[in-house]
Amino acid sequence: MIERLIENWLTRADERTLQVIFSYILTAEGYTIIHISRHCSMEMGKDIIAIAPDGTPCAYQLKSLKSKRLTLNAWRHEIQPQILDLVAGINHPSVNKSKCHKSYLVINGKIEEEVTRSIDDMNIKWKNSNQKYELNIITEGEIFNKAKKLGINIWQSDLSVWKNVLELYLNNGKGILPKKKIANIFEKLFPFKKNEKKKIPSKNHLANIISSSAILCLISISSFTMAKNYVAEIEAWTIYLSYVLALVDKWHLLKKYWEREFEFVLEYIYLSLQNLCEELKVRKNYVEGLVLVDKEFFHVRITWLIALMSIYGLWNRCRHNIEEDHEEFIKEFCSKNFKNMKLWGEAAIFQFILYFWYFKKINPTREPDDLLANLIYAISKFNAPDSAKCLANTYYEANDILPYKLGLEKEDISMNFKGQSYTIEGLINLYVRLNWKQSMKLLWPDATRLTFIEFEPKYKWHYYRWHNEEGTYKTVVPRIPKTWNELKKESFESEGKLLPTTLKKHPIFVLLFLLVYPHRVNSQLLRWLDSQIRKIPRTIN
Amino acid sequence: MLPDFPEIKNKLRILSDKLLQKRKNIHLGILSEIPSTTIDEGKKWKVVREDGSITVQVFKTLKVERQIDLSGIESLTDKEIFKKIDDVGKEFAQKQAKFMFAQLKDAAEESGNVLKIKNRKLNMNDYLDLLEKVDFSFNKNGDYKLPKLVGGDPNLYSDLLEGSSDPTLKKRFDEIIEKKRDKWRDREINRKLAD
Repeated sequence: MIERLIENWLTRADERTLQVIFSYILTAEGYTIIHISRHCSMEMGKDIIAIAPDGTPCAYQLKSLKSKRLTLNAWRHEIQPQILDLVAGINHPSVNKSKCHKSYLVINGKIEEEVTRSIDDMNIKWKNSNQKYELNIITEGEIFNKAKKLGINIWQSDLSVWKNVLELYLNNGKGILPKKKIANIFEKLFPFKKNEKKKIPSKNHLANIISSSAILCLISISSFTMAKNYVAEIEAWTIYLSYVLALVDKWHLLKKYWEREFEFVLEYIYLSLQNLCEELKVRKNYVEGLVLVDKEFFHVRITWLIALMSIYGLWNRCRHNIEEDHEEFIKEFCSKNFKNMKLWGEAAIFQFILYFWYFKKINPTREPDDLLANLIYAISKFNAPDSAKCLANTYYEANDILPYKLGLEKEDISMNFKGQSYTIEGLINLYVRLNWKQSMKLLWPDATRLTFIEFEPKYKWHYYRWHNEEGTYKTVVPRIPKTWNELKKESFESEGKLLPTTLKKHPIFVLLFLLVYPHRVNSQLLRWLDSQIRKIPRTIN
Repeated sequence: MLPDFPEIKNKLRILSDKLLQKRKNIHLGILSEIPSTTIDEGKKWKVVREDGSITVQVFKTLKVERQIDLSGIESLTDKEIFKKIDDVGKEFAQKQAKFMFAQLKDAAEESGNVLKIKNRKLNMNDYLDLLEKVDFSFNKNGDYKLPKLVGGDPNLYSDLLEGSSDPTLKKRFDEIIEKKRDKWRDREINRKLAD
């Protein structure tokens, strides 16, 4: 059944899905990916450029077949005209031009005999005319075997894992990613306990689990990938990376066992953000699905998109490169749509904070700082002990809270959140770091009517888990009166002593992590992140 | 396996859970008015108070068990089902109340906020003594909200005191309110960020 699932997955894969699958397989086999075409429109005729473990440059063109076999007709009219671009020299700064590269056509089907003959003839013709070109073919069978080999550790997994995989696989891919479901898959796949013989899992076993879980993630979210649901893809891969880091932290795994995969997936997330930006650029509006009932969802969507574009904008500053026009577009998109952002719950607070950090880079006035002040004010009022309409806490995401907001659920859940906040302490810290003493003095009395809530995981690596049975629910009653200097001292502490070391090595990943795991937002993380974001340059060099 | 209808039954289960919660709250009475919150993760609760003192509590499980005789299921009436749910709610409320009072007792003894009256009924002076020991809140207009008394009519003593013809009691009551209001006012004034 599992083999049939993989076969089916490969057969239905479109070029973009095939590109992810194949790039990941290459990475796991020790290749270094140096280029992945973003649109899969065969830029320069090469969808993927990689360096083999022996140093040979390799170029790949991927083709998703409409039928199960590559026919002579399809070969002659659709593929052959582009082959010269594929075999022509690689023009990339990381490739030594004097070195011959290998060219591959990768298809997710079988190949008809006539096509094989035609390719052989073409190769012989090149050889006879002393040209160093040669085209190799990788078909469905080979990809299947490679994927199967990588996934060898998971095929024997618990049936409940496969139940979740199948449910995700059969999803139409157009909605919100069921994050809990995907986290459950990794929770079951990743060995966080000693094995039956009470031994620590071997490093190689852990490395294999990391690779095979990525294959399972690819299969699980393929409907979302095919629907070009970039946000869902970003979320799924962020959860995957979080579990990889949990495993790394838990077993003190050396970089050589996981870094390659980690970097590849992170790069893929970056490409998805690029694609999302491209989509937003060409769209005339940001309405989705059933138009008449989209109003409430629209605001939630815009808030989310501004947060994602803010991450993209900040990330570009770290990478010192950017797709043409994207920076201008992000600026315009965020400032034009800012008015449509909506604070629908505390889980949206981090989305606002992301915008604040990006806003700070592009706007030197006090406007970004005022955004923080407004958030502190809003939480103090909404969640005041005598308030009738409270903001749900960070465990309630848009999908959970919208049925209540829209009256589809009649029960009143706001009682649960009165007089408390998971995010206000962090917001206060960020605002105090900006030195707005007088404004803070005005905000302080109402803010202190709330208790500050935080979840403290039992172990640092538990940060990355979606849900923890162990740990401490911490409530802090703010001390009054307090002096500005005391508050400043607390706010400027940004060492993040209780945070996992692996997390602190990847600040940009932390932005993604908290966007996907809003219930992990806490004041310590925000202070540490703020210090990291301050190091990012204002402009892209 | 016999044919079953799990999806519809699950919807009914959600409704019966809500009913159970409602009945439990009715049996809890005044205690159900204590603000509650859902804790999504963890096994412990740490409270860091304003004075910096910390308490850590491990969550406890409250459990009510019932055995249902399967032989009579087909003839159960709605009234009987309601009775079963109500019974569970009642037992749950009793266990919860017992647990809450035990917690309150420990906390009160620790802070010394205990008034001991032996072999007699609570009188007005006792009530005033109690009021002196606890904090209570005022709204923005300075109107007070008296703490509720568990046992008997929760508002009996406050109503009696407000309309009391005994000038000594009334005077003492007013003085307590004034003292508490001053304390509340001090607290509100202190709710500031000093230089």
